[in-house]
Amino acid sequence: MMLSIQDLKVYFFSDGRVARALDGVSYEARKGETVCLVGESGCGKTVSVLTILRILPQPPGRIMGGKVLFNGQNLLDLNEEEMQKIRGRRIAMIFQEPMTSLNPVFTIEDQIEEAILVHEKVDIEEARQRCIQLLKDVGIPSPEERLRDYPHQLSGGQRQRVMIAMALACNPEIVIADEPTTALDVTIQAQILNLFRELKQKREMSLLYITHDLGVVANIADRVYVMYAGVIAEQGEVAHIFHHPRHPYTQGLLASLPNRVKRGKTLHSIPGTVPNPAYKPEGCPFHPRCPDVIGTCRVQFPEMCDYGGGHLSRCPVLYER
Amino acid sequence: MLSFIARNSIQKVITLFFVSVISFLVIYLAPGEPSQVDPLNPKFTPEMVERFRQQFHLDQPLYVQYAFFYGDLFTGKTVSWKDNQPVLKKVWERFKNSLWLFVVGTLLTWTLSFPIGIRSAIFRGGMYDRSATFFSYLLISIPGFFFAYVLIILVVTTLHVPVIDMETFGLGDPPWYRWIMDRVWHLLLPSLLGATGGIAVLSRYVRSQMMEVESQDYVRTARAKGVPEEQVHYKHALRNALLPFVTMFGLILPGLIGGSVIIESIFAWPGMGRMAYEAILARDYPIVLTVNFISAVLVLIGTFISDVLYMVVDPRIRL
Ligand SMILES: Nc1ncnc2c1ncn2[C@@H]1O[C@H](COP(=O)(O)OP(=O)(O)OP(=O)(O)O)[C@@H](O)[C@H]1O
Ligand code: SF4
Ligand SMILES: [Mg+2]
Repeated sequence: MMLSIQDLKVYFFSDGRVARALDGVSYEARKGETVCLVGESGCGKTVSVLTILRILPQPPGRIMGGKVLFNGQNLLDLNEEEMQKIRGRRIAMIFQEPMTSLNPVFTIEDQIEEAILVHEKVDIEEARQRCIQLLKDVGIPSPEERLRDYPHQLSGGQRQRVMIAMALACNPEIVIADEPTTALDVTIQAQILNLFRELKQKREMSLLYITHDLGVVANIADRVYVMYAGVIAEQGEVAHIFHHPRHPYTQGLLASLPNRVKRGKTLHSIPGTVPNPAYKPEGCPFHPRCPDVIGTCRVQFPEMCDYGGGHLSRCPVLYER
Repeated sequence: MLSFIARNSIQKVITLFFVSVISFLVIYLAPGEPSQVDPLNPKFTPEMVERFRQQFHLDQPLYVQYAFFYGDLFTGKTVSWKDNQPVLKKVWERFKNSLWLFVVGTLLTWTLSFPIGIRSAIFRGGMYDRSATFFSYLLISIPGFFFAYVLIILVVTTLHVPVIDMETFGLGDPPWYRWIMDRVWHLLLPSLLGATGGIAVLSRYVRSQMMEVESQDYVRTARAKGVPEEQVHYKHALRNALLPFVTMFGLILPGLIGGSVIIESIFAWPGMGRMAYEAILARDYPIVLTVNFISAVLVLIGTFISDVLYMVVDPRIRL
């Protein structure tokens, strides 16, 4: 197993309240696989990946338990220096906001080369050549001229391409992309998504792709984890999840996908909102919004139910039906 | 860049003209009159007052007075009404004295505030940060004159060194090393006192600026790349945190004049601030207006330096 998160618990302590952002999350990504993590805003997707790289702001965050196994080694046991050798070199990350994720006072070249130079002993000329090649790989036209540009001189889509180039700089074993297209407009989104697919075919790498858009999942993922309020609600191969969703939350998400709705029918949406992690409901966290809720849901935290073939769902009610 | 400098200079000259007009009007409208032309002054007969009025052009319309004053200023002919000395020469003497205090004080302020503020931000909430916070608020809340006297008493009684005025009275013409030591002792307290308030405020500001930048996305990106922690702070965060201070740096120039009236008075330091203050009390208008004009020039030069520096350090600003 390349990357495996086991029973991860991360709480935030602020204003005298405890926000249980991750409440025992487990997911994994195998070698060469594309895994998607989906869920509504605030369900803990970003927190979980920041914890993998150990760049979670602590305080207010605190890791309360669980493991982050990377090729069998628990990253939570490493010291800061060992962790630095993994960040960017073996696990790379692309963030949601291309507009603010690049440092405004350094050139594109500085920032990509830095990603190479912190990990590898190469001379500056070689670093520059690699930098140009990376920019070519991510589809930036005339990269030699872009090298001396500052981030504000690029469009949002180009900045995200630069972020991707930076992430690929050291040929990482796994790339984590945290909603890399959310901040971009629709045509650019499609281009970036295609870029990811292309890169995946050319390179030996795993991809952990975070999104709240199931359409994207269908497009690129091998397997998918559906997250809700700090827990995994359902997981499985994309075909299973899309054709036989076994959790009311996944069913709701799928029903609200525009291209699945027959013309003329109104678009379905799940009533209510994701609970604030400081005030989570007792029992099943989804019960206030669930159409299939029964009495025990309100008191008993649901177990994972196995449908075979790696398809798991945290809803005993539908399982027993 | 060149066109920016040209445009900016023209704007500044226009601003300067308005400043000169307004300050002239303000002085004219202010109550009271120079003692030499005050009819209530028993020392002068009406004939003498009339002679003064003519000599100072006070009998002319306002715009003529204005033209005379600034004409004299630019040709270096302005004299003080009090002692008939050339104003520019007087101002220059005082300016040189103020420069000592200003340079040492500014160096102290800027070299100490930054390390203190940055360290506080990096180790926020820790012992160091909390003591730095405590001492800055302490220094901000103690009145400067009180602190000055406490320090004078301490230094004079324990070290037995003279600290008042710019050099020890009757020092004469000592060997150069004695002169330097004497100057250092005299400079130490006033410049330290001038700097304390600045350090307390500036280090707080550095801290908040640094903390703000530390929470930015690009700092997280740098960490995610595997950049060592030191480099994250001192390269990625600091470069951005410094930007607003470039603006401030240009604005400290005017402090050369007004910054230290109280301290110059306490330490009997013959500086510009004190001279301006005394000139205001004596209604020695040529001196007041000249100092006013020079400080306006300093403000404009300061903002000009800021603008240019900002363009150099922030790639987003290009004109
Ligand atoms: N710095 C923080 N301080 C306090 N609470 C935080 C902090 N960061 C995250 N949280 C809490 O953790 C929860 C999960 O946040 P997270 O950013 O992981 O959501 P997400 O799934 O990535 O959402 P989005 O789709 O909006 O990016 C949030 O609801 C928030 O309450
Ligand atoms: S356990 Fe109950 S509340 Fe939770 S999803 Fe299943 S039916 Fe709904
Ligand atoms: Mg997020």
